[in-house]
Amino acid sequence: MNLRPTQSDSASSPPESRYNLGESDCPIPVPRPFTVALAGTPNCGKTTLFNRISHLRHKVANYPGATVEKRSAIVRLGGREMEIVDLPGIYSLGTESQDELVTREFCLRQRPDLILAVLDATNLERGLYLLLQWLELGFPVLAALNLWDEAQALGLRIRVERLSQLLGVHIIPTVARTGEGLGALLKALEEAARNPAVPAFHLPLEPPVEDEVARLVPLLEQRDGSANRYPLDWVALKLLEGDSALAGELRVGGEADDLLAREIEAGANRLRALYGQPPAILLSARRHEYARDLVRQVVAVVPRRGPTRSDRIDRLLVSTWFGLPFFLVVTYLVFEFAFTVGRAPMAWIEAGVGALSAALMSMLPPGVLRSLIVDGVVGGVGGVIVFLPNILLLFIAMAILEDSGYMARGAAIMDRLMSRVGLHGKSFIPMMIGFGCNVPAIMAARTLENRRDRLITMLVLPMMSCGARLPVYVLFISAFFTRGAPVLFSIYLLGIFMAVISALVLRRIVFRGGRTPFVLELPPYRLPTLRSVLLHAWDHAWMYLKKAGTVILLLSVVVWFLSTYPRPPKTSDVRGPAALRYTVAGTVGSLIEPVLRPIGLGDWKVGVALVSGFAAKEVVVASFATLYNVGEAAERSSALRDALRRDPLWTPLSAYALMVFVLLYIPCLPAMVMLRRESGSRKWVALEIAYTTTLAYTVALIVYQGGKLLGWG
Amino acid sequence: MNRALAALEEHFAMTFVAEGIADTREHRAILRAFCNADSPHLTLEELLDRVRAQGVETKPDTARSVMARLCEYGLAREVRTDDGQILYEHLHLDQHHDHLICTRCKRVMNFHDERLEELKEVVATNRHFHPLRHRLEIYGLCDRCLPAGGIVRTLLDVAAGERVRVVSAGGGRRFSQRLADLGLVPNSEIQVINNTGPIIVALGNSRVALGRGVAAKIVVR
Repeated sequence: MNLRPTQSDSASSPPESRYNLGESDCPIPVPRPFTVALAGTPNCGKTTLFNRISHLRHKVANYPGATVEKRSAIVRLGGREMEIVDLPGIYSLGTESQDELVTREFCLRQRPDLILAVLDATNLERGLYLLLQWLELGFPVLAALNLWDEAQALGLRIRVERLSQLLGVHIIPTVARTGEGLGALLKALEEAARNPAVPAFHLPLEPPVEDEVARLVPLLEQRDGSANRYPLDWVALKLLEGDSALAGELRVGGEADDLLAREIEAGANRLRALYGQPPAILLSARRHEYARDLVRQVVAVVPRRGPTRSDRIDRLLVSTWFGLPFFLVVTYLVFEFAFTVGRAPMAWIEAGVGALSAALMSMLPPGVLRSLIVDGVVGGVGGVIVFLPNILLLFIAMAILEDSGYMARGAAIMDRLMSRVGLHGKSFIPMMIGFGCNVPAIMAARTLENRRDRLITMLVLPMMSCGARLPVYVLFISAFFTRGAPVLFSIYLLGIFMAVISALVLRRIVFRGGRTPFVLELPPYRLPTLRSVLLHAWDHAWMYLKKAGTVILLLSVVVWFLSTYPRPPKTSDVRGPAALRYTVAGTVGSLIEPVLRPIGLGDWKVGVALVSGFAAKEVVVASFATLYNVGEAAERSSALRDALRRDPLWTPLSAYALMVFVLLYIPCLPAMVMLRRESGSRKWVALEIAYTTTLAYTVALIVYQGGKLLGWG
Repeated sequence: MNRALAALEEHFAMTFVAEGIADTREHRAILRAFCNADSPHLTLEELLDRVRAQGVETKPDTARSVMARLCEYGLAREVRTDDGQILYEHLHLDQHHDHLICTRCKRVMNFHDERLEELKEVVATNRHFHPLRHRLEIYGLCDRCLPAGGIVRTLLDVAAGERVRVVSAGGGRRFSQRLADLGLVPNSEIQVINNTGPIIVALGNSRVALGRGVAAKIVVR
């Protein structure tokens, strides 16, 4: 073992001195906060620790890939501002996935002042594998040995002091979940900020590899500029590994660099011939071996190696014959739970909203203002808030699935099926998140390494019925169907079915080519904590409420205006619903009406509601509430449901056609903005809007006309 | 004629008698002609020529029967060439070698190790056995076949609970890098936890689920 844990004295030499930092790269120091990048492997408790440090509550999930974007928080420590950046969990500092790229780009471009490496104490080797790469890059590192309690429970005895010495890195044991060790960590952070120690680390390599590095370093030294930003032996190693991103950045292989490029290729070939493996794999193996060596030196007790409890559960839950049926039952129960349990609190809120509008009716004088408040605001927003219990329950169920670790198993179980339809097992997690909200789900598709897989997933994902569509279903199901859950489940299944068909079509026509194979780390099963589940669910419920208070409030008022003005001419004696025909909404709706007639929705009100639903799908409900209330202001106490039941337009069949249409038509505006960002092209957004709307119309048409033929209309 | 050959000739002459074959000049000449041949292979014609050169007349049938006897005792071997000719090959005691035979590519590698030869003598002598010759063939996979997936066992064939060592984790460059980052590098030890449906392997304390297509590309031993 050949570790040289020397710490540079920051008073006498700047920490970067080792790397010939060019003058131009070192501008006059602007007072910027000390930047700490929180980095670690997926599922090591990084985000929990981030929340502890920043007092924020980010969604924490027990599946790999919960952090899909970097987030940061400013905290004050010891009178000094620090920016803590939470990076996505990665296994390696390579360029194989979007997450790795985000992390690497951030670290190489912004050069954080300190890497706070979070290690999973129960899986030290993997954490060290990543940590070694930070050290190779010459970053000052402070390490938190997280999940310390779980390691203790496993019987692992880790000699933290010794590990600290071997690596030349300060290491603090922590339990992020309880906050244990946080004080010590913050103190170490403060200390590190005052005196950042750059460990002079050199990964000991086998002589033939060292020779190749030694051959390249002088060539790199001769080049002016860019390569000098990084430790040269790191650059040499990466180039030998065939790191094309770095080669591109350093413009290796241009005309000027023929010698260097040739030397790199020759060196890589020599190593390949000598070891019979590509250099990248060789070096991965070397780093793992080195990490394993470290672990052997510092872990005193190797725990019993029988199957763990998680393993025994997995043998049952992931097995061929039991896994899939069980998974389907679980998914069904989630919806049953959200729908059935939600019924009672829904009734309470409904009653509350009814009482409020009744009170307002009696307090306010009749007129435009009363109509605006009662029909526009209370009707619209109240119509949406009623569904809060369903949303909350759905997210509670999803949080339990995520936190328990079952979600990752679901992905593994589904891979075989997903691959049959041109998707990937990992598409499954974004799709499950899609049942909550499509926007973070589109972001979560980043865990897919292959761009084709990723785009297919993002494009079919909006067919996963999100929480915002649930209010529409609940409204119509409770108005027209006696048994709710089966109907609801059928809508969700239809969404999944359409996603599958679409994926198949996309795979055949647009994205041809092979799939990337399935590999996913499985976290151990953990009992979800009540706190975490409730926080998680509340975060989403709060977002929903906030949306109700802002976007939906605004849109309700807009819809109210559009459906109130212009008024019918004074001379006519048109009253009640008929008056709406004269309004803007009435005009727009009437234009769409003929188009909607074949799918059983030939009513201008539906047209208006569907158009307004592009902003956010729950607005459909708010719009219906506003539109129906406008005509029946006098009878405000009756629920929207009763108003719908009285309208002859609605039958169970037309209600179902509407639900199908809402399920499939244009995903909401925020989701499209996200798709634009994540796909990097407007082309995909246009395709998505055209495709989903056509699909929605076609399927609704088949449902309605087919249903009528069968005599259900 | 050197002493070893003389002793051999004598020994066989005795054996022939014990077997009821007459110790004739004709037989001796055939034996001598074969033992003294300078080339490793002799055709029947060449053998007969050499016998005639000693001034002894013999019939092809006699030569054939003597050679058959020699083959039986392991002194010679009949080799049939592609064009149907029969060659008699020397299997002399003092120029012996053993074989490593790859069952996959059928490559045969020769080796000779004195320690093995000595051991053979010891084993035989301790059992009051007079060795004439021996043959040692080690069947297996050669270095060329082993890492390239020549070994029949992939992760798919490993039963749950079994602990194995990774020989190679294949697939494309990007993909094998992905596996390497997770710790699935050549020579790492893994345990299979589940082998129905997706395959779950244990790498230390962490668990990784692999699709069956992936598992088929991971060669283990």
